[in-house]
Amino acid sequence: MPIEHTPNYSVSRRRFLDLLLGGTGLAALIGLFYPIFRYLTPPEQEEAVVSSVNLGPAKDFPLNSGKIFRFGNKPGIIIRGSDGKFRAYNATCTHLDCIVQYDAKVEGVWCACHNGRYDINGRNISGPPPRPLTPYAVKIQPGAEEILIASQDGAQG
Amino acid sequence: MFWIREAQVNNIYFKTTIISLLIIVSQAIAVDNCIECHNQIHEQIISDCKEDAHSRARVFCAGCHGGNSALADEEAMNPKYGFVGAPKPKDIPRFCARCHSDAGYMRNFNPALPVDQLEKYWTSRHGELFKKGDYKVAVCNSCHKAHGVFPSGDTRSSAHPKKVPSTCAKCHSDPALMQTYGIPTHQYTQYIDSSNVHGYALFVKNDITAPVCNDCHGNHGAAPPGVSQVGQVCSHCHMLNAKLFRASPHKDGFDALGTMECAFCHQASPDVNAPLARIHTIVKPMAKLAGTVQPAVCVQCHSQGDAGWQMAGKVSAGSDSLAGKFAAAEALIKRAEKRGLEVSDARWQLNGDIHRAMLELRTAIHSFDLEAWQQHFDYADSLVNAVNAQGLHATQELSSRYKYFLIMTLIIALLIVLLILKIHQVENDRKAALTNKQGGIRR
Repeated sequence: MPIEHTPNYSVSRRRFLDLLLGGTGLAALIGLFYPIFRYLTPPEQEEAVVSSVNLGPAKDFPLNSGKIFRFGNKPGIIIRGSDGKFRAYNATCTHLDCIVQYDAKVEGVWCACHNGRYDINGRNISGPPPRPLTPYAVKIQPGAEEILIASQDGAQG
Repeated sequence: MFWIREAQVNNIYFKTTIISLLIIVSQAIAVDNCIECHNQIHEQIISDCKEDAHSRARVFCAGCHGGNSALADEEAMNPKYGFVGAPKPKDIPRFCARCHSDAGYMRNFNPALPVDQLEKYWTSRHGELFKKGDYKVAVCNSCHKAHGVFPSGDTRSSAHPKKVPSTCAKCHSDPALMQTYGIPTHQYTQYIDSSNVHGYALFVKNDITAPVCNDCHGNHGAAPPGVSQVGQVCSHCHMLNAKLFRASPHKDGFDALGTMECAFCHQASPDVNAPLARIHTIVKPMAKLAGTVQPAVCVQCHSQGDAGWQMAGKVSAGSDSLAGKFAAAEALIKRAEKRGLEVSDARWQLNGDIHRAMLELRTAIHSFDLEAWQQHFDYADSLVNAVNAQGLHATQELSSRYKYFLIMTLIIALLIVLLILKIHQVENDRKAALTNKQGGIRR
């Protein structure tokens, strides 16, 4: 007498559906909690890139004066010489990263940390600074007569 | 008449051009017999001189040693051609000065080059001893070499800033030689010590503007700076600190004690009983230098109860408290930045105004005036407190976000559980209804 094979297809299908349901549920849970986890431990953020900054009306800058301004997260210095011309530089000393200041007596830039000196055009002229200051482009917006500073290469200086 | 003058001018130009060409051609084809003969026996010397400053100025062997390089054999070294050969140490300063002290002659090569080296040399300790007949002391070639002389800005020069310490050390680290003069020999090892802020800047950070031996002692006029001149020497770079120090009561006190002003406090492990022991290891300035507990330097002279001791205590406590607050504020801002919160104003304050205010505070110590120091301290403290407040605000904002997230997560989790229970309940109800229905049919 031949042996009768009666495979239990219904049990096997149920198990398959259970596994499918469980897997989908797990994936849904991961999908729900992963954004929460990433929110609580966000990746390191890059510093926001700033390529220009508006410093307000040109008339607010007296002749033979200098002022530190914020360019992104870096300090800049804007100088208005006795000739009325505006010049702007990254205010970080090229020696040891101190912030430079304008010296109206000699019409130049001075770093108090190690007595480094730059001329009004940002060239290092005495003391330890090894390089000139990084220049920024200065534009006066027509009409509004406002000072707009931009880095030379369009990126944050 | 105009055409006659023009012809004369053209004639002069023509003659000058022809003469110049003849000189160039004759120099090009001329054979330097010094090199021809000495090429074998003095190969290294000739190789050293090949690209040095003298060769580039077309000053070859005969330019210094005399003789006639156009003649062959021994005749080239006939004294009638001014041959002097290798000068003896006692002749070297004047030997080099024949050209280097002649402003008119040196103008042909480099008008900007100083011509006072010999004059300065006579004022140096080396020159003083030389004049007394001591020819073991350093002369020109001891520092610049005899052959292969390069400008000090050239990295091949033994007088290049990165080479100066080892050049001076050739003699000053030689115990046998220095014993004669009663000079210690630890200067070089102290200078290259990794804790030496200047040596570290020079050798590790490659900052060739960092001071080396000759920046403090002079080069051609090298001599130890006097006790009361050290502040002056340091002031070339540390101008504000030196200015405050010179106006302070410490200036006269330090000079009277024979301590080397700036160098005494800023050397590694200062000891008032041996004030010059480690002055060539100038350590990175740190807040704990001022205070009433070792390694604070104030305790070397001040004793408990005196005004200096009290000021040192206040400065130390203030500096510690400010440093703690600064570190806390920075940690808060860093944490907030990492969590994506907007704290760029606070970061700007930390890197800009606070950095500068703390530098000014450190400088203000050199006035040794508690009131002046306190003003700087209050300003720096107020800036740090403001940033600290911003950091705390950001932290509170972060805590609130976490709290709301936790509540929402719990609510969602509860919702999921309730949904599962509801599904089970619906399923059970459906099964029960089905069982009841089947029971009814059987009946």
